[in-house]
Amino acid sequence: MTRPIRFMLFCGCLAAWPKSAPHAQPVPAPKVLGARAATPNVAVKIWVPTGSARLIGWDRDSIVVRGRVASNSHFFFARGQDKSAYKLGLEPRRLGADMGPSDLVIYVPRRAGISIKTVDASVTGEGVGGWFYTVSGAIRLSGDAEQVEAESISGDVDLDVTSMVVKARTGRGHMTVRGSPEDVDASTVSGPLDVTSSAIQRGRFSSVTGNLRYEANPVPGSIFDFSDHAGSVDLLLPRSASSRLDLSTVNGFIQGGGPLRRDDPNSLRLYRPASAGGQTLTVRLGAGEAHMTVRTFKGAIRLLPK
Amino acid sequence: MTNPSANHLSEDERQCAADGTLDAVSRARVDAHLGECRACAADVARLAALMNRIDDKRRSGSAATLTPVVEDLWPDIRRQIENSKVVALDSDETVSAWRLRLDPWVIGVAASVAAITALTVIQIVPPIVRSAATNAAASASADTVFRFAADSAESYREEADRLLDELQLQRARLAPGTRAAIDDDLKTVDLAIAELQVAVARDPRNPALRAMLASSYRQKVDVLKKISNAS
Repeated sequence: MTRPIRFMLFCGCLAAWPKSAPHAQPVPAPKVLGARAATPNVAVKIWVPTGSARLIGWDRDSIVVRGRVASNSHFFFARGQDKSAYKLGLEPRRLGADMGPSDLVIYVPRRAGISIKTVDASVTGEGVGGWFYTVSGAIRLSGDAEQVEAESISGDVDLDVTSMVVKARTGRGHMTVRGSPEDVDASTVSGPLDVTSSAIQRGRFSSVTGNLRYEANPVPGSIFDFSDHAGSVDLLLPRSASSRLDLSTVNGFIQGGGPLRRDDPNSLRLYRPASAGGQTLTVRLGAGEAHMTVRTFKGAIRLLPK
Repeated sequence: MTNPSANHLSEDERQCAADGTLDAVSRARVDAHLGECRACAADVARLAALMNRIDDKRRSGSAATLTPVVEDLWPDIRRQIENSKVVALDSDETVSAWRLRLDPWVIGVAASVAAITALTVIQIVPPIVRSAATNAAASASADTVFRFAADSAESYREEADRLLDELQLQRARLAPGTRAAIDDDLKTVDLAIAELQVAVARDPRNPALRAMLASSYRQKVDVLKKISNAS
């Protein structure tokens, strides 16, 4: 085949190539499974064993549940004594029978107190607070919430919330703390824990074998405590950081990256070790307005420039 | 909200029809259905009668007279609850091994919390403040510290005891996958605690070690609490 013919064929193919969905049909909202009036601070207990649950906080005094229920499951939506308490979720059609995955989208008043439990269903929350628990599903929360408590045995936990108090636990899952939480207590057993929020005032982060990573600019006056047995703790701080750092490890090592160079006049200053014991170091960065304590047993502590 | 599979009213609709809380639109539809469906009509009538009985009892007598009525209404549910309290536990060997493994832990927690508290306070109080204090104040402070440490140790021990009691039953009720995940986590934490205990024995006055040991125990308590949440 000669070159001009090949070129013409190529152009022809391009012209014939279907354009990307010119008039995409809007996806219809899932079927309404139930709707009830509720008080603004209604307590909602939710049980979704498998599938997914998406919780959305809205500015209405009602609860609306949409979604798709597996054929072998039954959706229930029960009211408590009054409009201030509801219980909803899924149960098997026959006692003890297996349940297929169902997907629920639950709209609740913004100030509602959620208490949700799943087995392997993923939980997504937008602008809702309360207690979120799953055995192996993932938890992903975002938006404003008064208080958040998230717990998973083996699933990932991703918190991108603006909240006064955040408590989060996972075993082997990956935990991420973002957004603007003020008081955070987060831990994993063997999963990694990443913190990228610069709004935290009080932070306690711990793991047994998972790696901790803090990549943010600590707020002046904030207090942090990082504790890891065998995992590493990486602090990635900007040059403008103002914090006192107490770093100690028993069998690990402490490694300073760019911020610890003495020869750079703009660099962060290196202070003498707090004790002659070897693996203990006190460092002051800038005016030292925040206070970060890091302890490991045999994991490395690394101080790196952001 | 009718049940499409059976074409009957849902539980919700029957409850609302019985207590008269349906909205106007739903009421018309539900009334039409009740006119045609004998099963739903009978159920709604039964629910309405039940509510009337409860209301009558509430109006006429005290709460004490109401309780037996309510109790009588739920024999099947009560039987199910009672039956679910009996679950298959692991063999005796496993259970005793479990308890043996945890008993030293409780003792360890009590001892380490007391030590950590005392050491932390010693570290935190600046030397200049300590030297300026009078002997009497120091003595009172020492008493307070001791009392605080003892209280903390006691509450920690009680918490551990409570969790251990719950653990036997609730762990047996977990799904195998969940139990394996929790056992893995416990093994990881136990290994860390064992390593820290050896290190503390070598260097008993190291506050960082004590703090890490406390952190590991806290992790263990968190894992144990997950068992009760998972069951």
